[in-house]
Amino acid sequence: MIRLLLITLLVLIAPSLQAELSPLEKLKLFPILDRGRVKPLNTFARESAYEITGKENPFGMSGVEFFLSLLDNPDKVTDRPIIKIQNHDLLKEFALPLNQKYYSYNSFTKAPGLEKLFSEVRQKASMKKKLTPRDEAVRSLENAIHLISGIIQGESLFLIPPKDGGANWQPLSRMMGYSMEEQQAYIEAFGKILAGYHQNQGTTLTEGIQSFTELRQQFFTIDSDMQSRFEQEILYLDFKPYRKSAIFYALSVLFILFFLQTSNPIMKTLSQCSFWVALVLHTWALGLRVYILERPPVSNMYESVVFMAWASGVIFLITQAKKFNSWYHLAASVTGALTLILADLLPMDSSLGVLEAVLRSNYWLIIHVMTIVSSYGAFTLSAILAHLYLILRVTRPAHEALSNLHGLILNSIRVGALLLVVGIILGGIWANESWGRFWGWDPKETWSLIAFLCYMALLHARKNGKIRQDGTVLWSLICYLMILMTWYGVNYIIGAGLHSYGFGSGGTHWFWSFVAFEVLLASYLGLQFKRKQKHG
Amino acid sequence: MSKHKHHPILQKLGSLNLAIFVLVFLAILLTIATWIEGQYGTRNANLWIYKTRWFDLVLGLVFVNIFFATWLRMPFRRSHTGFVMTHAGILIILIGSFITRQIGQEGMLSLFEGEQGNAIVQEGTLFKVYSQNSQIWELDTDFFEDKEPNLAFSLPGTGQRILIEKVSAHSEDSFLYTTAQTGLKNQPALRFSLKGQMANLENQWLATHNPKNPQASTLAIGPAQIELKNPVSPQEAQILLAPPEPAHGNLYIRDEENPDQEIVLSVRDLMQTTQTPTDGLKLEFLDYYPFATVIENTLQNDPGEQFANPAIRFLLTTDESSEPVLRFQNIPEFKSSRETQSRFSFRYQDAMPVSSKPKLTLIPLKDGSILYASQSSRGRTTGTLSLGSPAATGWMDFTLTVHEYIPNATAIPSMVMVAKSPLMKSVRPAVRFRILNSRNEMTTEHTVRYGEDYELNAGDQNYRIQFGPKLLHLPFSIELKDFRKIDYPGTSRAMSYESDVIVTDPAHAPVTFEKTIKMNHILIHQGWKFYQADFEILPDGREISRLQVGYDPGTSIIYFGCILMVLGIITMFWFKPSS
Repeated sequence: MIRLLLITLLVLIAPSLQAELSPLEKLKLFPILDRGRVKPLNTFARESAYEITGKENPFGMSGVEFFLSLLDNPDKVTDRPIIKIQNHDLLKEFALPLNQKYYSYNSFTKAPGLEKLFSEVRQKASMKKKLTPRDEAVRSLENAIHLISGIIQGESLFLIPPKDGGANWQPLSRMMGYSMEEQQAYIEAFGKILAGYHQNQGTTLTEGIQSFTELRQQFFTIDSDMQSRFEQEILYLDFKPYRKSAIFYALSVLFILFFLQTSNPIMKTLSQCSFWVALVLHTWALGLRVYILERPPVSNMYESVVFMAWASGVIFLITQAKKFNSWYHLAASVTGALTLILADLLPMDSSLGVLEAVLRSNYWLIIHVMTIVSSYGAFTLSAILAHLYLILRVTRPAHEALSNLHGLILNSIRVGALLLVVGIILGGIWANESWGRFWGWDPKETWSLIAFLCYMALLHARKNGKIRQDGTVLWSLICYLMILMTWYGVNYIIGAGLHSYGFGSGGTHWFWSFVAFEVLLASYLGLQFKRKQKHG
Repeated sequence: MSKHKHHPILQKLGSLNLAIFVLVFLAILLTIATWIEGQYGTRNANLWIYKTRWFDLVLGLVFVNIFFATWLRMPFRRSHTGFVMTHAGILIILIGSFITRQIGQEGMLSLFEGEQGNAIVQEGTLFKVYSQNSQIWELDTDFFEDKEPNLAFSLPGTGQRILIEKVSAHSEDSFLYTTAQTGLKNQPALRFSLKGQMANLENQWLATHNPKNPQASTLAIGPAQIELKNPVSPQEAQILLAPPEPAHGNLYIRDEENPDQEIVLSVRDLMQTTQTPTDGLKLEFLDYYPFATVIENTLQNDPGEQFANPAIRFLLTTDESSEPVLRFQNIPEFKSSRETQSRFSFRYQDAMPVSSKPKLTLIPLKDGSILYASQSSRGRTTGTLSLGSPAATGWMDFTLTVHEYIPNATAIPSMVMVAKSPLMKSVRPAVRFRILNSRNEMTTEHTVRYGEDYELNAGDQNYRIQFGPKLLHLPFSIELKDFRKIDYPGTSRAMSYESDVIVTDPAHAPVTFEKTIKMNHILIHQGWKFYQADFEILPDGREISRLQVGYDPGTSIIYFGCILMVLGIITMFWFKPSS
């Protein structure tokens, strides 16, 4: 099995291992300061392309090619339809045709009142009012307009290192500290790069890159450490390991479903292999993020979701019995596939960003947050198991796997509860170290306690005989909602307290729909089971 | 006690049923508490729930339940190890937190750079009475916020009493107006109310003359403004009613080759067509920013700006080059670094942009009628107001009603306690009190505002009344030597902020020492912990560092309880026959 795994990995990674850097590849490695971090130009180009066009590789070009195409003849660029706007209300305000997917820079900037529109929505957002889809479109339009103008005017291109070796990189448009000759040399080199791209001449391009690099190297050298981090970052963005991992989790789900139907042992092996490949890719992706950003991968919603999925996979591996349990395997695969697909589809910020000040204490951050997020992983596993249980309970009430599933649910709850309580205590220690108090009824603290109390109520009620097998499973669904509230709700719905670095908005109606669905499901099935018990 | 073990009440107190009830009850209570915190803020959540006596009782119930549940299982068997450890751990945590809740302290120490202090501000407000510099009474006014406590305190030896009539969370300076008896002529004042879904302002005054408040003729409500004008003639009234004329200003061009002559170019003309004011110079209009401001590194038009700084951008084409040029009226020396030197220099002057901010102008006339002009995003409306009948302002759903028109008014200072309003700024809490004499008769009403002292004569004695924050004086002092905010490169996002402090404590050696407090690096001295919580940079550049201060002697007990509990849980989960 391990051989199979290695072969699969090799096939996946092989294309990216081909060396021989083309000029464009070299350009991708150009360091640029953007959003507080010196990153490869590739990342900047891809993120910009995504924010303008909705795609990281738009119009059949790579991110960097798209970036160069913006600078190639900037006068014409403003007439090219590249900005993705699909909100009809906004398009109507600008009297633009609705059937296009992309619109030009000029079709907005030539219209009067654009800045007013932007500032209106900005004010609305700063007052924390609810933004309509049209407002969201205005914000992404503003972002795109500023990005394009920043790029074509050079104001966003912080490609010039500071002469004093400090952190204040300079944009191409304002090379403070550099003499006229030096500025001229930079501009010429950059012009050569653009010309080389324009004429599609590899030699000119290479020359441009060469002389720009030489200029930069006088004040900033990329050491081998940074070089390799940059290379990994390019690989991370090009290869999208999370997406690949999600595919293998999904394959694992499919194969194990086949196995449950047919009992064909090949299906079982295939499913196990897919799960392993998925988890290895997942681990590798997490490791890459840590390596690139030099910090633990749990600083925002996206990262915590991805880490949660990984933790659930690891918890599954550690806690599974020696004998293969297809239901447990199914639950773990579903958890991985579902969370990674959701993380990819939901509009969460997945960019490689810097940390908020309060989180810059890696040691405690690692232990506290990772423990808490791992407990979410265990609870998510239990929730998926609970749903499988209920599906089976409704379709085949006498299935022998039911009591087995029930045991698995309880076990993951126990693991989750232990991790959660340890995480809460570690959080208290961190709070005591950095805020001078162990416990302060901060909403995030309080909600994690609420979730813990709910799970404890479940475990106690079971002892008492107040709830039996079905009741435990139904109650665990409600408890999981408390976890979601702790995880998402405190930051996105309550929006108060000291954990404010993770606040955001959006998705609340989806959250409430899910809560309502689960509560209705649990109460309906609860009544149903009770009635049957009485009659039977 | 063990012979009472089967007593039904003890059985109930230690029962699983009570445990389940307590767990669910606490979960629901805490859910409500966080909801309150989201709706009404942290302060109220603490005031109504977390820091109340009855919440102590709820935690006490948890303690009792766990205590008896554990006690009822005595004598313990080996299989009870995990159970006992866990529950004893929780009991210890509860004891530790009880100690913290009873004698722990929390507060905030705000220091300017160079300032030394030892008074920490705690949550809440106090009303204090001093006689000859010693405090003789204090009232915790927190619980009476926006209520009428009607509590009285006897001033010793005078037979008089202080009656606290009202505590208000918000108060503001204001003036009342009456008809002037002498002196002033034709200085009108209006009393009006403004009603809308967003806010409801009653009894507002505008006056054209108030020596103590030069801004008495205008009222700013968010971005909108109401102003009172006093025209000298009907002609001037008509001018005030007419929409203001914007002026786009002129561009003054100087040519190095002809330095004595300045060319004046009307921007209005430039906006219409490309101009060639002189040989070898072509100007093409690009942008006009009547309210130019730089937001997030980009030039934008923000009519919300208080002072208009019009700017123009045009394309300058000379024989040598063609490039965009930007000029601000108020910053004539500004030049883009990319701008190349040419023989022409430009100066932008004489522009008078008209703000699109909502503005309502009230123009009372001598014949008793009131004209008004309202500028809003929907356009401009003018008309006549009659007393008592509401008129639409054009701003959202706001209507304005003038209740009183005093053609010749004089101001009387007063203070009003106002309801909380999002539109109001600079409001402070206040306490209203009266002095009752020995026959229980009311005398004059007094008001003291937050942070103020009030001298009071009662009987033949002097008293000082103070209303302000709860202060706690530390047994040592802290001096802020330096405060630094460090940003992520190229952004204004804080990467770290830190304070260098000097601690001076005469009672403990070393008497003084230095320490840097920053995120995750706290100062601990004599059990007091100082954490870098916040900072403020004043417009004049002075920096204030805010340190959260805590005294929490229960922490080590809590830590011990935590360790015991976690070990207990591990024991229970892992060394248990799997059922």
